[in-house]
Amino acid sequence: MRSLLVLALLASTAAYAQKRRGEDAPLPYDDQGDDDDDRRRDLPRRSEGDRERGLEETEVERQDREISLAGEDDPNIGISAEVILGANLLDSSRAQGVEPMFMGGIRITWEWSRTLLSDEFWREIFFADVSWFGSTARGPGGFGGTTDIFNSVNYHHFTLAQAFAYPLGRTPLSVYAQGGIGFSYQQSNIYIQGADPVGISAVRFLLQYGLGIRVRIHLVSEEVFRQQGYVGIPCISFRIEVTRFRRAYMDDTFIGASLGITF
Amino acid sequence: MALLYSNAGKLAPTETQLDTIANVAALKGNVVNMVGGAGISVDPNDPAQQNLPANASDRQVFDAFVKARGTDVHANLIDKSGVLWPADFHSWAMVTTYWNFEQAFKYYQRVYDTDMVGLDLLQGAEVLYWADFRDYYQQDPTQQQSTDNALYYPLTRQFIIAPYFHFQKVPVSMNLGIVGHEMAHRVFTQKAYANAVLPPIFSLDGFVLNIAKGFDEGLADFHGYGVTCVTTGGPNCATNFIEASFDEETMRRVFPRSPLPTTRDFSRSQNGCMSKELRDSLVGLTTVSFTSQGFHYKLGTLVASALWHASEPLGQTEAVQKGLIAAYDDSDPANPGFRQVFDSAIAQPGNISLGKMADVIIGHMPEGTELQKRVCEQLVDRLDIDRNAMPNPVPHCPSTASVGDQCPAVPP
Repeated sequence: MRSLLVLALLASTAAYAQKRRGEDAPLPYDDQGDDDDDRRRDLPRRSEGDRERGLEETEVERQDREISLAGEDDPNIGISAEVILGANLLDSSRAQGVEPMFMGGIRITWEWSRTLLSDEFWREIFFADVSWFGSTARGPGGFGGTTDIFNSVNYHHFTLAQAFAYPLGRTPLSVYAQGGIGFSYQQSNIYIQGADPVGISAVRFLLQYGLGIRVRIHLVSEEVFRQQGYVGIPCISFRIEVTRFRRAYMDDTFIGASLGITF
Repeated sequence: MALLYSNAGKLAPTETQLDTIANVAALKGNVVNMVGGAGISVDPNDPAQQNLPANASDRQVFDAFVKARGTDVHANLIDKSGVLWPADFHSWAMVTTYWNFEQAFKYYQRVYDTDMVGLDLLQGAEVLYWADFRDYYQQDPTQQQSTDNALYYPLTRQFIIAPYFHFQKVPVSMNLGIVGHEMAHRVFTQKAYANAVLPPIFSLDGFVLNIAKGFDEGLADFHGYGVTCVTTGGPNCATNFIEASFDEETMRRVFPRSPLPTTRDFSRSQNGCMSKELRDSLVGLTTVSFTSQGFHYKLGTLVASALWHASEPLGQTEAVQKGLIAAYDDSDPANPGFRQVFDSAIAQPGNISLGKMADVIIGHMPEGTELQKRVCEQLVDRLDIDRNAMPNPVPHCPSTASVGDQCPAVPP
């Protein structure tokens, strides 16, 4: 009887101690008292002490843990090719606001921070564009002249621009601002009363700046990627943008979009 | 570079110099200042215009009619070896327009002679390039917005270059003769109307104002012709300078009531005689009706024709041009100018007549010369001034003058 009372007191002490860790923890059977699984329940949900755990890691393990796996989740190298379409709102020499013209172009984008930076946040921030924008107006018409006297003009903008993007949460969207420099090649012909045209061309320094929204949509799901082990997942990239060009003392505005593929 | 006439008589890009320009991209200079995006509305239902007091200041009138002040133009210019090339159509047009105004001013510098005060006043006007000018007095809605036209608008003292639309030839402001013609209207307004934004004679609707309008147009055509002779880059003395910008087919279709461009060529003898229709219209029509049918141009062509046929064979057009400048405003009671004739017509409308207007011109030609005699003969003949009453209608005619016989007598 004395020995039963001592056991009961010990059991009570053990139950009290358990309540402090978990109110609804099951009571152990006698033969499970020192089981490993039981001890695992006592572990915190997350590691509590790097100092303590570090003692358990090898140097190689520690270095491996510090390597960002962001590139494994989204392995695109971030090279894009896009076709640009939109409206070139040409600065009006006759002070009528703008002269709307069609504008097209090609753009190569390198999201260089995906290659050069490993941090999950910063690798999404930077990209650079190399672009060509082209626009043509051929008279006659309100902007181009009369049937007797008219002008045709071509604008070609070549720019290198750096952008700063800000991802919108976990969506494929990001907003960006960018600025760049380049040169504008303008070629102009005047046609007068059926005579041969007389042309003039010039290259001018060009300043580019603008805002936009960029979307990258994966063409292949992450699951397929894991199963089949694609090295790079092609994405569709799409932009809507407002870009301004300052050429000499003229300010043009491009409003448009671009669509392409990102590797 | 501007679009000037070559020796072959064709417009071509030509290197030239703007002597009075201060800001070449904005095309502002001593002669004129170019403005884009401006708008003027003449609207009988506009309260600002309805409520203008009789003694409204020039500023009040300006504010009532100008609906958009506009902004600086900025010509797209490319510097090629120190020569500025316009790089789009409107830049070509604006540079050429400024050049045209500069040449016109050089012409008036010559014919104003020593009138430096008058020359100072002539400079510095705004040219509303590609302006939105609307006249809601026009009954036809399609005619309310001005196109294919250039005008001097005395109420705001601005030149207006309306957009080309129907006509596809040389735009009006690129036509040196037309620019010279419009500047002549500024000259007429400043001198004959004492630079009033609302000249008192405008209240004399009908015969008196019809005559004034007709002479204003005729003298403008004659000066416009003079401007075409002033430079080698011009069309080389063209009496038909209107035809470079207006073609007959489009004119018949768009402005069927206006005179055809060829009828404005005052060197053609068939254009230079009074008709019964014109004389009846001069007397019987209101000024709005008279001008909307282009009768003021027809009357003007008679005046220009008389002056040209009188002076050209003698090689003395410059003497006529200078005499006309003197005739606009002359306070000599024995030899009054148009301004003084108009002033007298305010008190006594009967003081104005075709003969009186012709006499003002004759009285300011070099006295006793063959030129004065020929001017008299031509004006009396072409305006069909009463031959039987000679010399009473034109007392400044030399006694040696005989009535010309180029035109048939107009039936009563």
